[in-house]
Amino acid sequence: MPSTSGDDEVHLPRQAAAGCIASFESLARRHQVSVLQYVRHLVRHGGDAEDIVQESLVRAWRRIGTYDPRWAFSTWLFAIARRSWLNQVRSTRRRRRRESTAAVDPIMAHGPAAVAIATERATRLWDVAAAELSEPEFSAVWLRYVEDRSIAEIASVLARPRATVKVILFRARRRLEPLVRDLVAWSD
Amino acid sequence: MPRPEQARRDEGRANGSLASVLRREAVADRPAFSEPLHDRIMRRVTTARWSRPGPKPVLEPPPARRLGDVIAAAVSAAAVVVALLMTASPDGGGASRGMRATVPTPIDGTRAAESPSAAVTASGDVLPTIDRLPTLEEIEESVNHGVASLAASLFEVPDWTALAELDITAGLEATAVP
Repeated sequence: MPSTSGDDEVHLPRQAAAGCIASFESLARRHQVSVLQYVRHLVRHGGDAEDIVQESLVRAWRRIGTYDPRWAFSTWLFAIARRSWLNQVRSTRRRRRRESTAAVDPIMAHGPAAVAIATERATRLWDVAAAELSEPEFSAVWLRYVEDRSIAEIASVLARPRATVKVILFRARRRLEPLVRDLVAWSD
Repeated sequence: MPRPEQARRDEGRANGSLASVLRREAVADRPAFSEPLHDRIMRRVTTARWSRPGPKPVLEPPPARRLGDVIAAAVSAAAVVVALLMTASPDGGGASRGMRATVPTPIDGTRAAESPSAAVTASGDVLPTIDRLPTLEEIEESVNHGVASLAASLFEVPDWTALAELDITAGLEATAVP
């Protein structure tokens, strides 16, 4: 499912950096769905994945001058989207701390797997994976097996060394394999 | 179960079945392209167009030479004002010292004689012309003179001889028998 990278992937960011909105619109149209799908799994229980995608693309437009063409444009977008999601998580935590609500986070109360299984989407592998894996593990697996990114690219998105990314992937696979076996057995 | 070392060495490549299942599930879950979301994004992008960070046009800072010129001009202007105040003629017709004192006063109600250093307005006021303005050398000399006068007044040494004579006279007067 990786986006096709041709000459456009080189020229469009360059033209967008020069101020061409039409070029940026082409890039946004090309990568919007894949970024949204990734963020939807990150958000899980929140319904504001579209807000994060929107914020990420606006941020990308503002900072397109800092884009490094050595990486795929979509890899850069994934990194921005992940950062936007992390920012939102942190601000939500701060707000909750300020409000001191007595509401119990369902994830904290029952555990991520229990919440995922309790929902109607529990049979979907990626929802279970998002619930079961830590965020870096989920992002690494998603970028590796869905977006077909290299270890180096994943390392740039996660802002971790390559060796760390390999360890993260290894652990994530070990945790995913029984889930996949169960899912396949359940489907059959 | 592969050994961890082997698994790390293969750069995280999963076996075929796991990768294919993960990929298949992701494809099945892929959302459709949302035109409203795209429109919202592009509206924000268009709005944010002019707030993009980057090299902004900045006013060229004045070079040192130009700044020096400005300072020199300011000092010169201040010196002109000081000089005009200090060179005011004492016969200013009772006027306070300052610009008015430089204006020649007509004598006996007659109009002042025509002079390149003065001009008579329609209302009868006589104003100094440019010929009457001091030169830079005069200004500098005036400023130096003013500074010297100020310094002399601050550090003036009393005339000890006169003071001694005064003391002697006072002592003789005090001891004099009527």
